[in-house]
Amino acid sequence: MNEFFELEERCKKLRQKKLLKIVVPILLLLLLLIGGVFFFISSTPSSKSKDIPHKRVVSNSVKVVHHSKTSKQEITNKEEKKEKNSSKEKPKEIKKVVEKSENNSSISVEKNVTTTKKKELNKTEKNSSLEVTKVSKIIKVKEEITKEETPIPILTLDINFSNLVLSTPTTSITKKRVVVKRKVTKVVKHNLVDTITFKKAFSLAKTYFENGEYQDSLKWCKIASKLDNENPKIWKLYALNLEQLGDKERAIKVLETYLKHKNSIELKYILERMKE
Amino acid sequence: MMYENVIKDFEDVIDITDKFNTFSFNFALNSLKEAESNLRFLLGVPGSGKTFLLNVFHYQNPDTLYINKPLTKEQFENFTASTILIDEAQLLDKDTIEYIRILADEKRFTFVLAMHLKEAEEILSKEHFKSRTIDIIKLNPITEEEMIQYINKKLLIDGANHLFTEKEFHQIYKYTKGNFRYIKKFVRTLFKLLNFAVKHNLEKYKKINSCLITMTAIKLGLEDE
Repeated sequence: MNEFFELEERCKKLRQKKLLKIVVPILLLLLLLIGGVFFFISSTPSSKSKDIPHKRVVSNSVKVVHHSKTSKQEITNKEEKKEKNSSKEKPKEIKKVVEKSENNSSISVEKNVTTTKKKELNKTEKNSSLEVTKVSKIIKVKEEITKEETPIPILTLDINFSNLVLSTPTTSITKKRVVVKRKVTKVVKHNLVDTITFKKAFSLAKTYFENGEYQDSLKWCKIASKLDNENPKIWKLYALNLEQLGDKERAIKVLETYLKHKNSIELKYILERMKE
Repeated sequence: MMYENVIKDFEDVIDITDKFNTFSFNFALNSLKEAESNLRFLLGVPGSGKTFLLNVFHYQNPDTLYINKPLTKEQFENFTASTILIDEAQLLDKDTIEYIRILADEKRFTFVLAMHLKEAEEILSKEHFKSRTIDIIKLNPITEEEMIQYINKKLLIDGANHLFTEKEFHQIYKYTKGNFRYIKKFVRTLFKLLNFAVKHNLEKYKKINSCLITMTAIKLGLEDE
């Protein structure tokens, strides 16, 4: 009896094995078929993708063409930029020089000068020692002009010296003034982005001041002063910024310099308050 | 329904009256009768029916001598019969076989040596057998149709022929490969198992099915697990 059931169990196991022997190859075949189908499907896009390199080549060539087209534009742009930079750099250099030379009576605003700028400055100082002398001469001329005709001082002197025609102090001061003023306005116009207006710059400076970000406010004051130098609002804001930054002496000096050339009751009042 | 009778019918016993005419059997029997040489080899795999054929031949030719035991040289001297049928000749030693060959050459006796195919190949490959005219009769396994006829013939007597389908026959033939002894053994074991199942009311095995056939094959060692 046991033998029969034992045989039955063995038979079942054997059948399972046989089934597996049949099923596994079928499954493998199916997998192969599926794999084949997938490969076929995947190969069809790949055949399409074979065209892509051509397209790429074409696109590359197009790119090259564009590049060739753009390169010309870029070259011209670069040239322009170079010109701009040169025009920018030089005034900056001069700015530093002016700041150094006019340290006591300076209108310069920048406190934090980066090391790179310092390096550049040193280089420019070395390389343009002649320019320094020129600058000092210009400043002298400028002072003379301010004394006689009371022109408005500039917060930042962005003067392009390459375009500047220097003349001896013996020449007429009025002519010099005109020349310098023209050049300055030119540079200012050239440097600033067209979209920035005095209102925008002033409002930004004001909002920075209201938010307590005095350094940023100072920057925008400088930009605003470039656009409109005669506006007493900007001088006031500049002085107040300096006061807030703890440089009360400079603030007083700034106000004094403005009041030397222009009358403003409000600024006078602020000056008195600061002196107290 | 019990199957004791079927089990008995398929016992591995040589019964000449239970002769079943298959093509290979009849061909071999005729070849043996018509052979002219004094040395004849009846070859076949174990269970192919060599012994049965020799017995039938002996039955049909009573003047022959049927020997199924190992022989010595001295025994040959006492033989009176002209035709000697030696079964299981592979058990004979080399000297005896050599002596048989000499006696056959002398034409004193006609020998029919029934032996397994493998051993016969070794003996026949020797030079002195190659050079001589000998008759080699091969007993081939029966075909599937012959097997079905054989089983059905036997089951018909016991009224159990309805138990098999072609599928089962095919399975049996696959396992037995047309070997008579295996066929008998297989059917006998199969009916033993069926008998057991019927006795114990195992409804799954009321009829012969593939599972029972596989079980039989496992039991007989014909199925590799």
